[in-house]
Amino acid sequence: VRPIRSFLYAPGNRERLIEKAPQAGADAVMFDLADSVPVAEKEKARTLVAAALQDLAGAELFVKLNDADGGRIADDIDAVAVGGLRGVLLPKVGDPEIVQALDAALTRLEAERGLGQGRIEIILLLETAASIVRAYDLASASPRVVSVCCGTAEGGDLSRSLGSAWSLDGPERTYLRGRVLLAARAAGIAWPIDGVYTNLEDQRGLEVEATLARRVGIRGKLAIHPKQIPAINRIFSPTEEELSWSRRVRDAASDAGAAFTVDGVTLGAAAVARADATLAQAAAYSR
Amino acid sequence: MRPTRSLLLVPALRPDILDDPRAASADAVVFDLAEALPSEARRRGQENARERRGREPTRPCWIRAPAFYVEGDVDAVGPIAGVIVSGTQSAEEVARVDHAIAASESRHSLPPGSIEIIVELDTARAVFFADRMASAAARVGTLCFNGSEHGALQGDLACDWSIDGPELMFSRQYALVAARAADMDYPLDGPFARIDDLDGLKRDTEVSRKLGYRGRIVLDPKQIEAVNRIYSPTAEEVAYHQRVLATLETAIAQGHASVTLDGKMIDYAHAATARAVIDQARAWGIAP
Repeated sequence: VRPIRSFLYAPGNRERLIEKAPQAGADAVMFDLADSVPVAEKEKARTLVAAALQDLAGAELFVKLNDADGGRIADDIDAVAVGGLRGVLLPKVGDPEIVQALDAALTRLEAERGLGQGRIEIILLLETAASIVRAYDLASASPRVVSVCCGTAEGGDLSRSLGSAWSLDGPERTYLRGRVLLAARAAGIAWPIDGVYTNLEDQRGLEVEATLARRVGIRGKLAIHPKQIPAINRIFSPTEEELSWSRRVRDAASDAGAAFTVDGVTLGAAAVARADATLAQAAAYSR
Repeated sequence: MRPTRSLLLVPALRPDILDDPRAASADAVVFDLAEALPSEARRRGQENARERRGREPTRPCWIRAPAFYVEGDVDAVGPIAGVIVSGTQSAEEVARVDHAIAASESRHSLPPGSIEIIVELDTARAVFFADRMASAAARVGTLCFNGSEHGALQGDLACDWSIDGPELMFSRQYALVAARAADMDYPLDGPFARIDDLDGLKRDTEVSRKLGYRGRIVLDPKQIEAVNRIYSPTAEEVAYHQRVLATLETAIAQGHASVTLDGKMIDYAHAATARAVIDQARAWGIAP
């Protein structure tokens, strides 16, 4: 399965946006049942999204569930646990037991509906102070958890939960991202992703944020508008420079096991693994 | 853990870098057996380490080995200061290495606990659980954070690398706090992999020291001089901290435990810091 660089949000109650989303160039679509859907339209959204999951099968389709506190999550998954669903995004999660309960509910639905066992993935949206503290326990709560998303959006739930300010590349996120990425990798999460960039008119800001995210080890990003997709896909793909380095590492490393030098840097097996992963990733994206 | 600024990593199959005159300045020597060498090559590496250890009457000699090989390597190399254990990720693994070393000590009639462990942190999981690994066995003398360029930790985090950028800064500080929280006075940093870039080495080692590290692995004899210098207190620092102690002593004699020096408030905490710096300077023969 190739890692997903970009997820495009589509509000679950907006039929046209749902239909158009898979053509926007994103690696995956995230149908939203949560905050972008008015309370009165939750049921309509479930119906529309369930239909889209059947019709659009083949695309990488995810659904953002309502949070566990609102009492809507059981109806959400009952509607969307169908064949076309690759995974769900669970927002505002701070308690590993919630993840385990979601895992158990998905297991039941997969069995009842003849879906592959354990196939539906879970992505955790970490956007409360508790979720940062418990990032490792959350990420290791279920084998379905394939990714975590640090919800660092301007004015979002996390900055409210912490009482912190927001700036594009300021210090507010240093600890949050550092802790979440270390915990996620310690729990075996291979592709942590980044939250949304809310200012649709500020393309440069989007690129600065995504570039910084990529530097520290984040592998993809949520998008709220199709126009954000090209920059996100580009920034989270291997660069020409990285590909060239990877090929040179491959060439220099023929002598099994021993240390070798590329660009004046003493390298070993870890560099070869990184080079192989980079080349494989580029091949996957070019298909 | 005895004070150590520079640990020269010597490939066990190519120990001749010890013949470089500059190698004599390293505070410690580490024979590197960390690669999963074929058994014949491993035996040669062990023999080299044993032979070279015999020619080191004063310096601590360590080996670097993966957990699985520690017992056999210690048996083969003989009495050493300790083992830098690479690739461990949990307190349970460290405890197993502890038992293996204890068994080897007993076979060789060495005092129990005489061989130390340095836990090398080179995966996200190891860094994340650093505090538990630090307290997994009494013989763990310190932690060594290995965030080297294109090394295993950078690969694990899939991040970029820079000297003072954000990519590994969190992990580098997290590991430091874990070591210090376990009362380790000599937290160690990993190698700087650009051997010919001495300016880069200096900048990186200055960052390391400011963060709180007190020594690091060196890959080449030409890296030792700068590393020893940067991890040592400067003469100015020693002079300043001697003034801190003298000023506070006078103040306390007059009934004040808080006073200003050069416009800055100092109290008992600053006296403790001053003593730590001066102790360190004494260890390196810089202060009387």
